Amino acid sequence: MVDGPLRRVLAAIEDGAGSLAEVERATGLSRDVVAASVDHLLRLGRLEAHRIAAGCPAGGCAACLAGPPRDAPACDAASTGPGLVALTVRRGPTP
Amino acid sequence: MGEGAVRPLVAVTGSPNSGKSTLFNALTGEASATGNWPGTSVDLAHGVWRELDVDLVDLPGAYSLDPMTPDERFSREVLVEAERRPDLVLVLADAAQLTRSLYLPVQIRELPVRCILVLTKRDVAASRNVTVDPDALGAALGCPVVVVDPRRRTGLQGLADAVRAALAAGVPVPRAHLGPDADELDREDERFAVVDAAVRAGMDLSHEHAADLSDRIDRVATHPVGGPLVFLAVMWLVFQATTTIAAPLQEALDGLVSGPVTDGVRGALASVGWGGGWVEGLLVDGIIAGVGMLLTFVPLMAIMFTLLALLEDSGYMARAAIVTDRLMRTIGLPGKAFLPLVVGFGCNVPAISATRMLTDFRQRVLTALLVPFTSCSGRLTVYVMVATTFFGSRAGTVVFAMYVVSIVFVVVVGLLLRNTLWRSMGNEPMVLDLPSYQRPTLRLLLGSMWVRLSDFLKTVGGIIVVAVSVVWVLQSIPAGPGAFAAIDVADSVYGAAARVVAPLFVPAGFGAWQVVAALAVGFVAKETVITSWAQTYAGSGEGDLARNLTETFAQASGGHTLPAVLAFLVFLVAYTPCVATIAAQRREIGLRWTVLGMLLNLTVAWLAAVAFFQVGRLLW
Repeated sequence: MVDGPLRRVLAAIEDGAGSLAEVERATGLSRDVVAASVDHLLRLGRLEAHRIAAGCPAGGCAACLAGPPRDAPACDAASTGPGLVALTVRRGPTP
Repeated sequence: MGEGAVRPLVAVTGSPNSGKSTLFNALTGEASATGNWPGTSVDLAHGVWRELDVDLVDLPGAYSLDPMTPDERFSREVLVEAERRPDLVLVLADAAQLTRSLYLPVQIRELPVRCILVLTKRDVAASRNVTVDPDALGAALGCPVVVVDPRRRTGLQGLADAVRAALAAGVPVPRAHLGPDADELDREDERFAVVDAAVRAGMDLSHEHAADLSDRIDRVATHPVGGPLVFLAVMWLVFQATTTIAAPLQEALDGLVSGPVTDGVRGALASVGWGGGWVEGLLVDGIIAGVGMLLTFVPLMAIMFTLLALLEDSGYMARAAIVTDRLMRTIGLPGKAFLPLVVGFGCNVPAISATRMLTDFRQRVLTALLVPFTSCSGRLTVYVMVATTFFGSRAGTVVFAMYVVSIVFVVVVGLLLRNTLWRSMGNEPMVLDLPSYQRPTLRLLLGSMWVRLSDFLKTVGGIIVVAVSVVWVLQSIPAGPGAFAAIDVADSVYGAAARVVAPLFVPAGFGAWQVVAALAVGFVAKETVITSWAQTYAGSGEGDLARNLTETFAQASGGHTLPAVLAFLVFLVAYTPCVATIAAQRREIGLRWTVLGMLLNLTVAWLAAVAFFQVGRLLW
């Protein structure tokens, strides 16, 4: 098994790294390589990304009262700030 | 080249926005055309590079030859599968995004084809203190590297020389790599190991070690100890500033609604002969007293939403998320659960829907049961109204404390459930990608504030008006003798029903029917707690809301007013948020868990309120 940047980044996340800075420290990889590895793992479907915002949907919270469509993960948040993205390891078969 | 001879074919490829088309146009001038490529069904630009007399083809942007997009599929067809494959490939790489651009050339080096890496946007990279050594990079990748600026058309001669030399030489030996039988991740990881080695050899990484402003702020803002302290201090400042600035504005609006507006409507109704009847009762004691009271919170909401937008727009809120995430992990809750819980502080309904991202059903149920303990913005109006009435200049601190209580509830109940119902629950690792701090813009701040404020106004104009009308009807129906809309609220079915339940709350210090009735109406939406009080006291003809509320709490608590008020607020934090949240819970986790959740909310809320009051009465 190859122990390259991709597996090291995945292992760091599995081991509980909470931020990309912690992944850098855990793997010894440069910031650019960690960022590129994450992009590639997202592309491969090994990681999933969720944008986080605590705001209401664009139509206001009332737009959510009926509930979002069944296949939607949640209401879209209308945060105006710089996006915070949560990266999680995908379980099961990749798409 | 003689007639009939085939020119060498050079393909231009690279990641999107690396300057491919600009370079293609610079090399071919006007002599290019678009047409179907042999053996494929896709049109692409091709032309002749006159200086070298070679055919040039401009491929669509691609990160990899393992196609994820139609463009990448086509690039693969031309480079790997087409009838006529290129003799040489120019792979453009954005020097400012070099690491992301290197996977494709590493993959192309596995093919039996000449390859030259064309480094673009070196000026952009230099402005970010990123320096690249082309020779060292080329040695690590096993192909020549040429620096070109397609926009300024510099470096083109060097590129022509490199292409000429490469075409004159033979096809290089492809890079040794793992075969198609190897595991997919192993194959890709081996390529990434080459990328990593090339970056270490060809890039000066010292720019990564120089801490920029974001890094310096984050050393404090995301520190395991300092981070939570900074977060609490920032939120305290937000609530303190909001209540302090908004207080005079709210008072002025209250005076306007209860004075000129009420008097004007009464006068108008009297002038058309509708004075003193049920129409006046509905409009003045119902809509104006209830909805009008809520509208006095508009300045407060506008200030608070602007401050929150300031924190979001600057990037600070993302740091607060790191702090919260760390707390979730510390107590053993699934990392992903943090996402819906953060959303819950805005509105519980989308937060419940957001639990869908949790793949494990037990984690989904646990999180959906915890979301109602996060303090949504609907509860905020009640906190502020009660806090300003009873705590004056310390109102901001009291509101802030309710958010801390909310977090404590999430942690304690989460631990309780985690260690009883779901001891074997697994975890799903999660990493947060923090954005850089940025200077907030006024347009975005006001836009964000307006989205939330307009939602508040829509709620007031919709469900609150309906609730206020229903409450007015209930307050107008006599429980005993008397006529419709001609009785005291205490004698209505509204008052009578509340008196049946009120004794349950005597141990919590707020066993008064006026308070209990408002909490019951609060099931519809938390803002209706305020409108119900406004209607109750307006309908009783007892005047000033703050004075009446103070008397009610004083009587119900036997003189321990402040402990009773705090107990009431604590109950408000934890009890069932609203019908929309319950509906969302039912949809996501089913009826059985929803009922359990409601019982959990009510039990925790009651126990905590009783504990607050019983301890508090010993101190005050």
